[in-house]
Amino acid sequence: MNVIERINNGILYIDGGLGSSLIKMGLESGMMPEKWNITNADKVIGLHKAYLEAGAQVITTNTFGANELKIDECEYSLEELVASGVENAKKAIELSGKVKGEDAYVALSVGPTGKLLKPLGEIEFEDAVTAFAKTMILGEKAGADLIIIETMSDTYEAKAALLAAKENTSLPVFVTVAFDEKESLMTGADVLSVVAMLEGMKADAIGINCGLGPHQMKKIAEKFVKYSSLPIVVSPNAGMPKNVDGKTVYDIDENEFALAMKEILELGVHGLGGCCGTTPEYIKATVNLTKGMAVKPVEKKDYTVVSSYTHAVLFDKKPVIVGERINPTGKPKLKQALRDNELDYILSEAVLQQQNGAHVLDINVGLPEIDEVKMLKDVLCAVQAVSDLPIQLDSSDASALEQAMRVCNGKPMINSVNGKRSSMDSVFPLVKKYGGVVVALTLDENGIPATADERVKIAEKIIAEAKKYGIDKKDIVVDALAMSVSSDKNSAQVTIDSVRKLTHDLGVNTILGVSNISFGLPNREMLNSSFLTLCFENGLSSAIMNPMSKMMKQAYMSFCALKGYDDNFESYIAFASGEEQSVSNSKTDEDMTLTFAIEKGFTAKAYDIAKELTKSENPLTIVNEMIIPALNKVGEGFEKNTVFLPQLLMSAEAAKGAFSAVKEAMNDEKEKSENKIVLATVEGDIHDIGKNIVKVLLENYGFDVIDLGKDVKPQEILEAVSKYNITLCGLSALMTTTVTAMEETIKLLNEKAPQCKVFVGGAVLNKEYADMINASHYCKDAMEAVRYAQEQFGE
Amino acid sequence: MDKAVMTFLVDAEKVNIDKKLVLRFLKVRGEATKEIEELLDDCINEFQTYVSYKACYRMFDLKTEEKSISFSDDMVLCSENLKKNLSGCEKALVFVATTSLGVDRLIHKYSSTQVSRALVLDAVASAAIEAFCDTLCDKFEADFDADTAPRFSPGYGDLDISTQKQVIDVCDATRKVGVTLSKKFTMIPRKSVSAIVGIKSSSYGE
Repeated sequence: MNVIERINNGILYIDGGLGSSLIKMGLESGMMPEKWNITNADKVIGLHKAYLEAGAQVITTNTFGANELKIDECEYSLEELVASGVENAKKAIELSGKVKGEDAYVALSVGPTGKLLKPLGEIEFEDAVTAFAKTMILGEKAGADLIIIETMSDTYEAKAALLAAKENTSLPVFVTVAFDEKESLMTGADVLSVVAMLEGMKADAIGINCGLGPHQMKKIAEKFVKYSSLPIVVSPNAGMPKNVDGKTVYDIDENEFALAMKEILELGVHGLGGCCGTTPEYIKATVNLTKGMAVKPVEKKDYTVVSSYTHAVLFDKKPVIVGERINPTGKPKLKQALRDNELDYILSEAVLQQQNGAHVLDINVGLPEIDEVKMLKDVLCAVQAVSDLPIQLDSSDASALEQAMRVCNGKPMINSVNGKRSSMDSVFPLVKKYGGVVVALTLDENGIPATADERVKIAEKIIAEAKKYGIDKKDIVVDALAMSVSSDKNSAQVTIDSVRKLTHDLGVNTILGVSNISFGLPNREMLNSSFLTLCFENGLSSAIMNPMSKMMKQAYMSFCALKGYDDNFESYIAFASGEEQSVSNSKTDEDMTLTFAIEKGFTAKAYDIAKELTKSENPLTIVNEMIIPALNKVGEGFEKNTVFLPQLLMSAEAAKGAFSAVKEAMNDEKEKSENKIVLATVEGDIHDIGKNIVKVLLENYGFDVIDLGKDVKPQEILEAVSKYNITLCGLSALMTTTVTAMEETIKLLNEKAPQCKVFVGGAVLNKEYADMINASHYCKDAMEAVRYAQEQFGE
Repeated sequence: MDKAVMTFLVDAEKVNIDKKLVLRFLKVRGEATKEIEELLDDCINEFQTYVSYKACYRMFDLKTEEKSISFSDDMVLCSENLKKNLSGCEKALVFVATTSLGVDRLIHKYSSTQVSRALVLDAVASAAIEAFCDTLCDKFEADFDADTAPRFSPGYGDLDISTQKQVIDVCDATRKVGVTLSKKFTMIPRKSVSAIVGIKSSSYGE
């Protein structure tokens, strides 16, 4: 029987702690355990053999840390470490008289890299995939029967490892993660989000190991069984560590461990093993107590779930709001931002939608003149760095979808597939490989059907085709399509009927971009919001809408409150009282001047007042006589030490709000300022607040800032300087260890782009240091950077 | 057993963030304006929902050599300043403490969307990790019934910043509390502290 059959049809016993046992056998602390595969093979084999004799069927190799990102100084190659690790396990099976692949299996152990991936860490996702792949290819070549990716504490890294296994080997893959007492991973992910992502990517079994003892794991195991359609593996530590006479010991013995494992088995868990502190005795006690027990069969579950790196969104009675704002259709400002590669505007749309109650964010960057493959991926990564909402990837370009699905941290929604053969042929293979919940549009080669029944038929066809790829109905959300009611008076009714039939007859979740319904009519929000309520009442599971629209939000909140989906009316009351407050605020502030709002740093009010002023005043008057003087006053106060940095920034943000109101009124796509400045935090340095502060102020004073971000290589900075013919560049470094990178960058720029002056700043710098590394100028703070820039551009 | 590392978790409300210290980090002198006060309070409230204080620590026997100090033979550090700091101590605790990744995410979010808030949150987080380290050291003094030497971290004086790697390793900090190192030895999550705390022998309880 192979390992997949065994775990699906009964109990699979996995071995216990390896590293902790090797330390007991004399492995020096601080030494790489994998070296023992070569230097002390007999001891490693002995331990494997003891586990086999205890009743373990799966032997995990001593290769947990064998990853090129982790081993830096080692006299043995990765291949030697992995091959000997697998060889030792094979040898132990042979010595114990078992048959490899029949009643004993070699599992290649793959642990985390010990590094954090971008955006918060330094490692590129694809570099992690490559590193895992190397170990896994070697493991398969050496004869492993399966791969166990274990002790993962970051969903993103787990995804990289699982992808590496699926793309580079044909071995079955188990993935187990390490939760803490609060039931979250180190990176914050909850149980359901982990289950959704790993299952979507077609792991063969999933579960939990390390971090906790069996008692603490019970509740988590229960959730795994409840939500997952896969066999579950549980490998706890020997309890929780406690301090006894200055030594750390785990707090439960093998008998207590076995009793707890029996209870875990009874929950419906199929794979039983151990982690830190457990020994062959723990496994033996567990096997003795549970051998031959009946185990609940692995059952298919029907939950529709999308996830991010922290949490999942479950499609349930309460409808899901998908924020539609990151989509250039009909939004000139967003179009411009995409063309200029200005992600900040897009990111603030993401943050605002989340603040206004979106559950999922749609990302659509389709514009004819941009490289959608690159842009969708870039925008996705940037949005995921500022928002922890699950993402809906919205594109008709399959390669753009694929690249984005690959790097998406979580289980995304895919918008969309439709009933056309070509669409299904290109989208379903992606969903099969990367996982996701796919939006299915009820149209096909013959267009959009006029009746509800025909739309349901197309949905059925799509669901049947998806099944061929192993994609369940739960991972399909049908869009019955809202068409303008002004061109066909029946169109709203057809959509409503379709939603009802799809929900009740077909039992599938639904989604709608509701605002199409009012196309061509005045006061669209009025129609949209009523239509939304009608659709919800007929079963609509989710709406693609603008969460910032007051009327839509009112309709949503009221619906949830009236239907009993809002416990104690909490959301409704918070929303309604917030509305009342904003009404009363706007009354009392009637006398506030724009100058005052900017000086105080009231961003929203500065925008509102400026907007109101544009109705009566010339835009240039507003800028030159109100915004600039206010900014100058605050700037001068900062230089005189009467205004402090937080206030300066609040004012700068308020001024930015006022500027954008004026720009909107002028309604021109005015050419950007000629005064371009490149900003970057140097290579190796991951601090970027200082650089961003300088950016905000420079922009306020009308400079066009090209922001290269943090940890930027000298060559990249030179390329940008050359490309835009830059004469002024600002560099920031916060650590003494990265000032050398700053020096290198300046040297390179002086050689290859002598026209470019370089100003520098950052906590560890001072004027002397700046002179030493040949910077053109040292700026002690952000205002000084503004003054220096003004001087350089002769303002 | 494996490395004798203990972990310590504290709820957010148990760690007292010193607003005066935050304002000092922000270089605000004298009375803060009402707007700054409001922003600060708002940031502290938001910070509290994202922070997750975690620490791991391990006790070592010290052996002073001519040029170095050995920590139970598991770690050897060369530093005159550290030797001085640990004089009169036969034991020392090594700890790694963090506010966790949620805080990095929060600051990162505002860093590109509302930098005034990022700045204030960064200062709040700096004050918070200081306060958490104080809480931890108070606990050490209580647990071991002894006075402690001032905290000493990699990068102080002549203790090279690259020793950060050994400190993270001996405390198993990546696995226990999720602290990793960048190529240049910056800890990620960013608001983390690693330090060595000598236990004064003269006051040692047992």
